[in-house]
Amino acid sequence: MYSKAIHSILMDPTTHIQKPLRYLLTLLSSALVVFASSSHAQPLTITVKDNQDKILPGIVVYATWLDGETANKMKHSAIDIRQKDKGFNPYLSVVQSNSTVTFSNLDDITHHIYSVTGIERFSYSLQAGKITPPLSIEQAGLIAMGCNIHDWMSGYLLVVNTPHYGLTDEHGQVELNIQQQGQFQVTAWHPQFNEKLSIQTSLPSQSKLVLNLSEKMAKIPSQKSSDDFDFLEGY
Amino acid sequence: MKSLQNKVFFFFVSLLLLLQSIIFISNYRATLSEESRQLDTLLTSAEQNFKNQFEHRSYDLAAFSETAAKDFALKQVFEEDTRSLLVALNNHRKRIDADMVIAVKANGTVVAQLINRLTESNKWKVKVGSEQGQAFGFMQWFELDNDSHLYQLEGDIYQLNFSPIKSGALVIGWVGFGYAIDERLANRFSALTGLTTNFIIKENKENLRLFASSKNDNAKNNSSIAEQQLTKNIINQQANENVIATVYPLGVANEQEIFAVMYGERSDLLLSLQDRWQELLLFAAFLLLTSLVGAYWIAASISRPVKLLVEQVKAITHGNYAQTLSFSSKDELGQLATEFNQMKSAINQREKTISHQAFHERLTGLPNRYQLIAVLKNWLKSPPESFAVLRISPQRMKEVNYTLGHDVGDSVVKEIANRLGNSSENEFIFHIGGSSFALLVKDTNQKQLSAFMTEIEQTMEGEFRVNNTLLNIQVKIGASLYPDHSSQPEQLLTMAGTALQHAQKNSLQHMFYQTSLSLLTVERLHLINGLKSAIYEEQLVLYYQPKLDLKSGLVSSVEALVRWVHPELGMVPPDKFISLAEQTGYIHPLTAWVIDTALAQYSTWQKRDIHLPIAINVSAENLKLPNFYELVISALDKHNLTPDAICIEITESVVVDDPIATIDLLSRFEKRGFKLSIDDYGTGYSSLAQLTQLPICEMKIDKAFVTDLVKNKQDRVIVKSTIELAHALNLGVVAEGIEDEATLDWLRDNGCEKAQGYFISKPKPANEFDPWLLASKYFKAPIEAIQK
Repeated sequence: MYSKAIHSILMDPTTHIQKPLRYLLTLLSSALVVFASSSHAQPLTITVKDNQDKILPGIVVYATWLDGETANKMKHSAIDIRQKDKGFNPYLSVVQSNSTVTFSNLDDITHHIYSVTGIERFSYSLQAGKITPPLSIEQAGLIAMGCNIHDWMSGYLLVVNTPHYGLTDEHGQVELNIQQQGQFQVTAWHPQFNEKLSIQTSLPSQSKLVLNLSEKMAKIPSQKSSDDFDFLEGY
Repeated sequence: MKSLQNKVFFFFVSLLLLLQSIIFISNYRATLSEESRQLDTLLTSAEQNFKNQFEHRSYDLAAFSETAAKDFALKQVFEEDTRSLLVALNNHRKRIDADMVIAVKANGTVVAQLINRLTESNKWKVKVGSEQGQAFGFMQWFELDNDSHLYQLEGDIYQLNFSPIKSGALVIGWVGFGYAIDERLANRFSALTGLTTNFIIKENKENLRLFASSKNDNAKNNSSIAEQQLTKNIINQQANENVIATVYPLGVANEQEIFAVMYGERSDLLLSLQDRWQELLLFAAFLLLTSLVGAYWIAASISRPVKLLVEQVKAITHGNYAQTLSFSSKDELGQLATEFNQMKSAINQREKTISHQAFHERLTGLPNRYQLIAVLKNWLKSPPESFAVLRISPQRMKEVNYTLGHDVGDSVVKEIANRLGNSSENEFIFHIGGSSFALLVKDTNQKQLSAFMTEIEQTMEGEFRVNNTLLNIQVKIGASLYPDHSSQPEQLLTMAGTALQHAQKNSLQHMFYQTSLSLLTVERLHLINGLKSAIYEEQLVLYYQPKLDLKSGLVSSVEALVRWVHPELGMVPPDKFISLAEQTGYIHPLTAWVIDTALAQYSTWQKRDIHLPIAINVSAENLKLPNFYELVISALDKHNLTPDAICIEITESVVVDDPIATIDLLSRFEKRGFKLSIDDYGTGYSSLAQLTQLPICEMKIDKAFVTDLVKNKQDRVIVKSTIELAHALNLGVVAEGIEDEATLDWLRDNGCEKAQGYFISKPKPANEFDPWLLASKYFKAPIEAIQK
């Protein structure tokens, strides 16, 4: 129902150190599948699997350089989060800080999308086919979105403080092209994770990483109404 | 007091009481079960009601908290502005009049807490709760499906429901609304069910705290210790029976159990039923009263006519038949009265008949012996100067009854009554039973009476014609006189009876009572008693009287005559006791004794060469004995003698009763060689025809004809013709009662064979007879006898 991980990571970072043992275990297990990287600036391929060793698509993966500041080097980027079929599409998005985000309504009805918590709080009443003005996002954090009209709709936008991020593809893989060398913390995140999943690695020696969940993932909300909207036909 | 009225009364009362008891008991039981059913229902429905209400509140709270959590305005201010959040939450709270609202952030901080509570000045006031800004203590609640909780805050207990506040799917916090579980709820519920409703918290194992009560608003201040104690007792199931209660667990707050206790006092709950009890009792009392009155009325109405009947019966008991019952009612009692009247007249009629029958003989309609006694008694109260009691009895009525039938006998008796005529002023006729009559004759004397009795005898002389049969009836009369003989009525009657008996026995037409008659009677009884000892104790003696053979002038035989030497009365002549012996049956041992003694004497004489056959008198009764012949033969055998030793003398009367059997028996004796002689010839009534049939060889002429023979010509004619008749029949003749020589001579001259009498010798006992015989001129003694 609720994700413990979200609370622990985003709401109260101090809780990180509460579970050092778990991180250590994760580190050890990950180390087993790490291969030595010989070439410089070679892309780092990361695969995310659940506790059943099943690949997980649509998971945010990002790497943070532990040896220096990267924020000021980040260029501006933009992301559009669509509302389609009365749901946030995609459910989970990721963007680096100092970006703009727009919301486009691809449905034929009005949405009232909002966020009332976290780094950005907004509220847009968005008619069918309209796009919101771009919203600047300065700092990293999580934006939990909902629609005030369609209760079941939910979407997340994770704002990360690094340019090295991506979502796993249908193979559960994401490829990060990292130029810097040194120690990195590679993190996989999803709202329904019940744990913090990250690993430290040194680049460019590594080219492939596999992150395995040790606990079962919570169920992703379906973004479907339990009711039919037959009564809306003809309007 | 066992009267019918009381019985009926008590019966009805008991019946009604029984019925009422049954009704009352069944009512009582029904009411009791109704009571417990009602109580059960009451408790069950109270509990159900409470559960419903409590759940309904929870549902309201849940629904409302969800609505509030979805409120966008609330969401917008949730993380931004505590003041705005508190206002927004208070607005929501007011909408459902919740007593508490609480908001918890996702990190567990209570961001808002408002409580609406009554101040001391009895006003409702909203204030910030004490947990505002604190960490929420029950974060685990949010991981559970159940969103309904009990919450303790500042001593109050709240029923609380949370809903998550979300940003999209992300839960950013929870908002909860709560109702206080307090006096208001208790009062509301109490008003609904009529039960006292208390809320209690179990703070620890021993300590129960009553925190809200419908009964006492100050329960919280422990001012009602009793109420607290009672509630505790209910929970611990120690409350007394009058309290009926149900305990409903509400849940747990801060690990402390909370209960709703609903109870009522039986008496309070069953007020309406108690009213019914009163009704019931009142009804029962009313029924009892009416039934008592009714029972009394019924009892009285039944017993009233019965009482009347009782009085009537009492009257009848005293012989009063005059009254008649009259009942108007046509019911059973009316019928009873009618029947009673009929019965009464029937009884009256029957009583008359019975009393007539009691004092009259049915056959003749004449007053009977009781009447006679009654009249005599009555007379003796004021007696006439003199009167006579006559008893009249016809002769041979037995024979008439037995041979011609009782009908004929009855007709004869009636005819006698007819001939006696009617009672007159001085003569009263009574029929005193059987064929006996009695007459009372007033103012008479012996002479008049004699004439009167002769007159009666003459009246009876005419032939009686009954069923074409002509009968000659002779009556015998016995008479006694007042006051000559006795002054006792029954004694007079007995005396007349004695006289009658004497007349009958002595062949007299009538007889006056004499004192000697009674003495004879007494002596008779005395003799009867003594007969037995006479026979068996050797008081009897045989006397012998010689019979003289007139041709040879010698004694040829003797007649044995029995004598009784009574130890007190001395010598008793045979005519006094033989008839008694015949009547009592002692004649058989007596005759046996005579035969045995005579044969012994014969043997004695025989041994002395004296041959004297002994004549023995045999009674008609003896001949009726079936084995008499055998007895005589065995006696002969005993003494080793032949039949010529004895001569059997019988009287004419033997042939009267059963001539054929008698003649047959006598023939057996004759054939055996016994000599038979007819005694007392001339005194009886036997016919010559019968006489000729008897196997006799001798005839004895009675002394009545012989004694005065010389002087009396008529006697001489009778004797002479008898001798001639006997000879014509080829019989010998013995004359008795010879008292002089002239008679003896006359008899010898006229061909009489034998003679017997005092002139020759009176009867003598053996010890006197022997010397007489040996010395007698009539005896030619053998030499041996003389020598001895």
